[in-house]
Amino acid sequence: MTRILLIEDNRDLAFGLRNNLEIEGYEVEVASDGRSGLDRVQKARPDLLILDLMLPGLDGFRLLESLRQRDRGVPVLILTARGDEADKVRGLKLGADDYVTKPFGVLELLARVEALLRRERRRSAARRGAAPRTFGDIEVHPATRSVARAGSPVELAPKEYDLLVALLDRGGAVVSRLELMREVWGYSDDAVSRTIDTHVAELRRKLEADPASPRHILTVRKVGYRLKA
Amino acid sequence: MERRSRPPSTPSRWIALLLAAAMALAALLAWQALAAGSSHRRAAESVLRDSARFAAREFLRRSRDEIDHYALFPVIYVLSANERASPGAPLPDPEDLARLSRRMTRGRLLAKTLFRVNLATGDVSASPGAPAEVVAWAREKLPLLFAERSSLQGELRAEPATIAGSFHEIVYGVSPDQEHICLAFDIDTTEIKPLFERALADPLLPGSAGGGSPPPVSLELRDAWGRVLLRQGDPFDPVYGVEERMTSLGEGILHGMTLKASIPAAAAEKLVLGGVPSSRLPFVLATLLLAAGLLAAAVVLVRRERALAAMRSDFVSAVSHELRTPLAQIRLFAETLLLDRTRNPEERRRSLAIIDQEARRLTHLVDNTLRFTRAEKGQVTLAVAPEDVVRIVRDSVEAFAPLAAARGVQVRMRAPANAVAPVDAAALRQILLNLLDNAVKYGPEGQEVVVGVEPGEDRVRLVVEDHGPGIPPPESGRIFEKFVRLERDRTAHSGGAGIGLAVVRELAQLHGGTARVEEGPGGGSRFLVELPAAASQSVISGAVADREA
Repeated sequence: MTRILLIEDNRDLAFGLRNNLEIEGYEVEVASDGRSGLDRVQKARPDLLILDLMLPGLDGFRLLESLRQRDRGVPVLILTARGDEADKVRGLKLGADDYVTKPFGVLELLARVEALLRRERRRSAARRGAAPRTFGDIEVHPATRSVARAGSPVELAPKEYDLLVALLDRGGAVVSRLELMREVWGYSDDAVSRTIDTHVAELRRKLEADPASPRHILTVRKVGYRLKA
Repeated sequence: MERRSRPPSTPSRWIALLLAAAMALAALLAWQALAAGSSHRRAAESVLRDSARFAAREFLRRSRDEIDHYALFPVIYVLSANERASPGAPLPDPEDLARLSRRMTRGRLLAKTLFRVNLATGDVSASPGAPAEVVAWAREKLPLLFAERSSLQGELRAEPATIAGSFHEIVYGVSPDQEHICLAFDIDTTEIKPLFERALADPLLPGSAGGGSPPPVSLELRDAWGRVLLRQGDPFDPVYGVEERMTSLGEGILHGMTLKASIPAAAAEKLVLGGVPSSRLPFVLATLLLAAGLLAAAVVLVRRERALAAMRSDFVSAVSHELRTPLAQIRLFAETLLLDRTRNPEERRRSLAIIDQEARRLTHLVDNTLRFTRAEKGQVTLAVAPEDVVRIVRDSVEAFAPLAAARGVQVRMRAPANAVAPVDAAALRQILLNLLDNAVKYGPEGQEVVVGVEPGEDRVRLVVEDHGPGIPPPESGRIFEKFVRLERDRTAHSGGAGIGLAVVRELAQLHGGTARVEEGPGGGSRFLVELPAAASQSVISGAVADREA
């Protein structure tokens, strides 16, 4: 599951943000001061950091600076009441990927979070390139969007292929149904999450030796799915 | 797109620059004036000294003429005439000789003893009645003095001699008729004093070009033994004068004497255009001091203006930050509710509570800012009426409860049942809210804040104690000034625009009271606001007028 670290000292704001992000299917951790925030980034290795600037202990700029010195490529979104151009420039130059000023629209913030995560996934996919990827006896060829099992080609519907790659991209981490909906179908709605289950069943039928007790495409109860090599 | 406006201190920087330039110019002018003044002065002094020297020489010339004419030559002529009449005869008594040649000597010779030296025989004779020691001196010294007689032709010389403790001026010369006969006589310089005075019958210096009277000259003449022969005018002033010491034998009777001559400074304008310039140093120094003072004042003003501008800009960004934080929460939770993005009734309830709490915070902030701007313009008026201070304090604490609860802060009251004082209820509420807000904002989460009301004889004291980090003593006086924030809070998370305590003090003072801070019992801060228990007449009448209006 995509994990987001929120470093924000205002408890009420942190509460509201956490709820909204959790509704989107992210796993959210909150740190309420700069030092513990920096500590958590290094230990928990989140996929995205939402950072307030005015923090007790260690302010956001300095946190970002020491984070980037250690070369952590985690995307950072600065969320602050400081709206001066100088602050924005400084934040972005220190290595932030986005800068949102308070007050903000919640949907816009969520869209920006999603865009940052998408960009990051695309970047890591690009890093992996078009080389074939394998798990178990399955081979995936991104260049031709083709899949082979034990050397013989398997016919996958386009959405089935996208779903497989989405799971593969997480390197074994859990992906919530909502995230999969957003990534594969481009929208999120609880009502249609059955669609995912149908596609997952189809993938298992085509790729697993025993679809009834899958060894690769695993269900994580109440959360989503993950791919085991 | 945001653009930072130019700091308003630019004109004052120009003022400071201009003043600095003016200061530099003033210093340059001062230096030039001093230099010109001193060279003018030197020139004037030198003119005066030259005039004094001229006067001295003129005086000496006239004196010598007078003395030669009236004192010395008569003696020599009469003596040589007598010598011619009866060569080698014993020298007569000077009194007798004077009587014999009354026409030349007017019956009196200034000589006391007469001498004759025959260079051919080396014989020295003296007039009758001459003191033995003087005769002995003459026998010993006169032949030596005449040894260089060739240079003495027609000239009289004088030798001051102290003989047996008494002073003798020995005048000597070669007889005009017989070269081997030298004549000498002893004279008392004090007896020729009147002749020096005769030399002063006419002014020594010419009158000034404008036809004014000639400048006076101060003179002091002493003989070889330091006795004053003549003194005229003011005491000698070496700055405008000269000292002539007659050391050469050619000076005749004046040999060995000293003359000091000077022009009195008061007479300078007769000789030098504009007189001797008075020193301009005091004016120059005063001008320089004035310029330096102006420059310093300008620098102080510029600094103060800059500091205020910086504080004002801090204030603007702090206020905008202060406004944005509650707005962000109101908008976040309002949208969350509108989009129905809550998962349970508890989330919904808490969202609404936060909206309510932040709206209150905004109201308080806006009230404070308005009150502050009004105070800046001097437009705050109080509606003072006898009120139960305890009730107002209790109401305020209750109103503040949601904000305190948000940070887990316990607010405890320590107050009597009631305490009536003439106050403006709204202003008092604002004072308390500001102090409580600070206590909660800067103190730790979960702390206890104590609010106390302590009625006294003529004052009612409000106390707010927190368990925060306290105020460093050097800053405790400044924190009530507008825009001033503690250094540690400027960068930190806690908001604040630096006006809360300024408003507290302003409102306390409008009541005729005071506001201050001291170290609290638990190491935190203890804010004290003291208000008069009985309103002064003016405050009450002002309040009545307010209400009637």
